[in-house]
Amino acid sequence: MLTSNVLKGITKGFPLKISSTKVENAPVDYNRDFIIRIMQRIEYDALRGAVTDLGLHESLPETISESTQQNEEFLKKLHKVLLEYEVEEGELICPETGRKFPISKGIPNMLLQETEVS
Amino acid sequence: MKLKELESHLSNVENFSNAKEYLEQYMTTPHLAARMIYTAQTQYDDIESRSLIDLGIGTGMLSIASCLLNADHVFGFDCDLDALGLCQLNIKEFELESSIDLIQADLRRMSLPIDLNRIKADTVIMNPPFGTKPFSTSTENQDELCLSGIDMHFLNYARQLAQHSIYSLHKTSTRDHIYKKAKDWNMKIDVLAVLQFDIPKLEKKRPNRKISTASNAPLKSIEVDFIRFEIKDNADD
Repeated sequence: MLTSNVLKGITKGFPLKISSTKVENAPVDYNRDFIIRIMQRIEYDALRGAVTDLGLHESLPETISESTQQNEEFLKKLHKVLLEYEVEEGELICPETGRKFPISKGIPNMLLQETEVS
Repeated sequence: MKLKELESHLSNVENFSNAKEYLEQYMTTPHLAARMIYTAQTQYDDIESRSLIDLGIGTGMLSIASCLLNADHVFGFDCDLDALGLCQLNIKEFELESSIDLIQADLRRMSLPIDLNRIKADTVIMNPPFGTKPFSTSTENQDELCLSGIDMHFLNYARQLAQHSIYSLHKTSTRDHIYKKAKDWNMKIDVLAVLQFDIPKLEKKRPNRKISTASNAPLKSIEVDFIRFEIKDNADD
């Protein structure tokens, strides 16, 4: 799944940090066109941060140049990081407030907590 | 893929076994879902290779239909964990785990702890609650919840999330109001079809009788408009 990007992508106090107790990794068919399209929408630095947060042994280049974006090896790595890793259990942490959003069975819980309902 | 074929695939989507009436969990039927998504693709090219958002994803019917027509990716929102669990099973059944991501969030609220601008998609698809429920049975604190005009509340979120278009269902009886809102929100509106939607006919609770739930209640048919909204102030246009 695109989990890491999604989770990074949807939050206030961007980017959220991720901590995980269970990460799964399952092969997904590679779709080059999709990766190229999705690449335009990703906050690349946040994605790199997520890879570090999760302690994944995937090295992504620090910056992406025009030529990197056409590089097949890079695209495949992006595919792997975005779609094949899934945080099953863990939490997202807002860097500003420390507020935690739990992830359970792969679904981030973005409900407000009782204390936040005024 | 042909329309009939799409509908046939969608008949494998599992329905709610214990639908929650206060959330208006009525499944979009395979028949309706197939026609909605097929139309969005064949007439407007709004599905294939597009990123989508499904608000109130429920069983996942519309999202699965979209993925069968080669949508790039779907983010599905629902407030109900039971619905999300069922949706996850359906997604697994169709082997679409890598195409659909689920997020638990309560769209009835006036604000979300989410930056809507970050998650924007090309197309928003939804079958929102119609606000037809005869009585509200939610026991939770409703102070911050939007209880009236819930479909318009969903539409308001949809217009902030959609970069290009929105496909939605609304009661035909509220069409004038929807035209007015669409104008206020600077959206082009097209009613693509008038459809019959079967919703459970719920009886008032009586102490001696078994309480009917949305899953086993008799059905009544209401007329709904299948509407396409187009975001006008898109920079691409």
